[in-house]
Amino acid sequence: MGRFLLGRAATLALVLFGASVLIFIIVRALPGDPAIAMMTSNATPAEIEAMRRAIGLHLPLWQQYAVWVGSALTGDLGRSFMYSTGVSGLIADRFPVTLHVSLMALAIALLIAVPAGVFSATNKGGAVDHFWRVFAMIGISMPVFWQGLLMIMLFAVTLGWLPPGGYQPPSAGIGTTTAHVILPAICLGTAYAATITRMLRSSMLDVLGREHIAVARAHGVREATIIWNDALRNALIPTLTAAGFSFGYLLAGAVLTEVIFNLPGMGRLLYESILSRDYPLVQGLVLLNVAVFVMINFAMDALYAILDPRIRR
Amino acid sequence: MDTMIGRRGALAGLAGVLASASLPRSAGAQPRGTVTASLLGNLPNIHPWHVGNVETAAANLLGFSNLVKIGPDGTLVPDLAVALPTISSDGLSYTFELRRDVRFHNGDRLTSEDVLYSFDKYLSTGRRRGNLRRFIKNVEKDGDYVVRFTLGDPWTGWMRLLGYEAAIVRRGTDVVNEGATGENLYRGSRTAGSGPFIPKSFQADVAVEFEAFPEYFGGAPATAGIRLVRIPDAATQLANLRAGSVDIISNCPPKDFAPTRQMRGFAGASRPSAGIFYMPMNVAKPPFDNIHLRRAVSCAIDREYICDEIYSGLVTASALPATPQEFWYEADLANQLKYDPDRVRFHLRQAGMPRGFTFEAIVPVPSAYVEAREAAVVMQANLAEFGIRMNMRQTDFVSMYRSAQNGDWQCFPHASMQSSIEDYLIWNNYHKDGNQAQWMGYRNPAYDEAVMESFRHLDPARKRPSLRKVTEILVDHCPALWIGRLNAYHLWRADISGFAPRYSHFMDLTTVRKG
Repeated sequence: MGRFLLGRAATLALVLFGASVLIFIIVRALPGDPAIAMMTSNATPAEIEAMRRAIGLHLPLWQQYAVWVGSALTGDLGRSFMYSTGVSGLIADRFPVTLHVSLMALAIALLIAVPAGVFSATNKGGAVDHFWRVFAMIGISMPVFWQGLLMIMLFAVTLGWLPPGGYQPPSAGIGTTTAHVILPAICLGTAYAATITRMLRSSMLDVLGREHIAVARAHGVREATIIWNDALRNALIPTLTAAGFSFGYLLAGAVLTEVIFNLPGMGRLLYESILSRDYPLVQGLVLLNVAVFVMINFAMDALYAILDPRIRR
Repeated sequence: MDTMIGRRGALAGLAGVLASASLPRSAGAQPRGTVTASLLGNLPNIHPWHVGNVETAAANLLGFSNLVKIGPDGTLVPDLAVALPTISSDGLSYTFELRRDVRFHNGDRLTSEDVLYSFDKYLSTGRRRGNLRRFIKNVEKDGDYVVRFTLGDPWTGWMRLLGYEAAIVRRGTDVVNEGATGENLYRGSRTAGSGPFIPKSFQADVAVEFEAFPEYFGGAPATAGIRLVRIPDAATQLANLRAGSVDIISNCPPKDFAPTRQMRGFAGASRPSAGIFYMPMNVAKPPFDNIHLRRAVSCAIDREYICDEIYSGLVTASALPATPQEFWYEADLANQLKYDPDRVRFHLRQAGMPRGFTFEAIVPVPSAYVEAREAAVVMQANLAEFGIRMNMRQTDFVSMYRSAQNGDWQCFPHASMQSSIEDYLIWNNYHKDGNQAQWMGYRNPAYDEAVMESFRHLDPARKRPSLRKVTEILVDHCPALWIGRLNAYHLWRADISGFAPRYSHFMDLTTVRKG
């Protein structure tokens, strides 16, 4: 197990290095000049050039990369052009918001998807199955901004039960923080619940059709035990993959959800940074996103190894 | 105030503004409540010399004071100065006398040294210092309460920039990083402005809170605190207003403005601002190096339909840079560029292209203030009636300006916020020294002369003859398609008073009150 994990960790480091090079090149390939974005259209050409020099854009690309990676290795992701403050600090400020909403959204997604996927598979072709299939279809196809606005209109404007947006950290009290996060979490959670439900249903149907399930039934094992212990455990491997990557996408920040619900999270920060050509901030955020996905992949690999010992070999 | 302002909103806004502006407030009166206002755009800093958009301008107005400020209708009014400056006959020397009752947030009194210090900082580190630095040749004091500015060329427009860009801080209290981007100035209480509110907390791009400054020279604010929150979606801003989590919103979807204003418990108002919706054309490059094609395009566009139907009347249609409500609007000249199918056909024939031509428009997406793409679609339809084909290239603002500066453009319909049209845009876009004129491609010594002549005067009556000359040249040469002027429009809850939209577009919450 140790050697398996070490091998995966080495791959992880290589992927991160490659990603850093790609991110650096792609960000600079974006059309537009950050100096113009910072100075507004009314700046003189001399002011724009002075700004380019001041933020280091006059240096050769390799030198810019070396400075960035060297600093990143010490935890310093550079200084945001737009906010005039450290990128690491900005990320540290925004990441907890995204993490909070993501965890809640994933919890909601799993709370819906696991029973829905199981009941749908065990009632294939029945009313329950049809209901969850329609649910999944709606969840996948409904635009998140539309769903978000409908929920705001219903729960915040019409009923007045919940605030229409904004963020309050857990330190503000469990009731307050939950009230602020529940709507975006439902909005995001239902979308991912739909995906995970479909995945789990397919996996469950596959597993329930295998021989060892038939043998268990022939031996008189209780149906509930077969479904929840034997079938679900095996069906969870591909489902965990889907859930893991869903979590990765959530942590990368859901731009539309954060805009609609006015959450100061990672997605909004990334969107703003791209529009303003804030190279250090874009690089820092994308690198973090890559790292999150790589780490989730690593965690998934470890989990597979635990669930299925054959994978370690 | 124009006819767009609803009766209820107008009365509430006017009454509040009059009450707070003209009646002396009791120093002992206790400020009440906190007013929460939402902003659409980015709020990356609170910095006296780094104003980059209407959002940072709104925040700065609360914490800092300037020598002059721009009144709700666009006229200049004194702020830290006792009166508007005395201008020498050659238009080069401006003398300000300072108020003697101004205290900074740290308790110190304002003197001319603070003005010198602030301008020294602004002219060396201000984000948009280029314009003022180009014109201001010298700043000197004459005693403790008189400051004199000497310009290299006459330019009244610089006074408008003073209205929000070059705030005055207590000398020695700022901690601006001398690097290019500077430090966000507000960190605890290390800076001292003299605005009606003191910054209390700041989270970039999220929220900024202010508390009342009881010793404000204009009288203690009626409101105990102001909270500016950023809500980057207009529909969400409206939902927040209706849910009661904000008191005033900076934007809403245009079609929702009138219905919401009429709802019980809400008020709203709009007025033309210094924002302009127009389409500069590259006069140095085909097809718009042909004056007839520029005029054909201008006469083919149904501005009223675009402004009234697409933007719900929140853009005021005009075929000129000035609107019909402004002193320098010339109706006879506007007629030459307004929608007129016969003129379109005439100009196409004159250009030797009676069956039309094709051009490319760069359309910024997302757009600032109004969605240019929506108008561009109507323009395509308008132009198609005459065989003119407008292809759209959608891109973001930064890329659009990059293309423009590289000469890779034919035209770009877009909305732009200016400090002033008659005192800034006409110079910036088409005068040989203007910043954007460097890539607009238009050169005309007669135009330059007319612009500089208009810059000698503040008085509208004395400016008008030269501005007419400017407008005549712009109409003759048609370097841009003028579509209309953006309206500043806001909605607020009915218990809010002392607030109204402003010509300068950004929210002025200095006299707002709740309850």
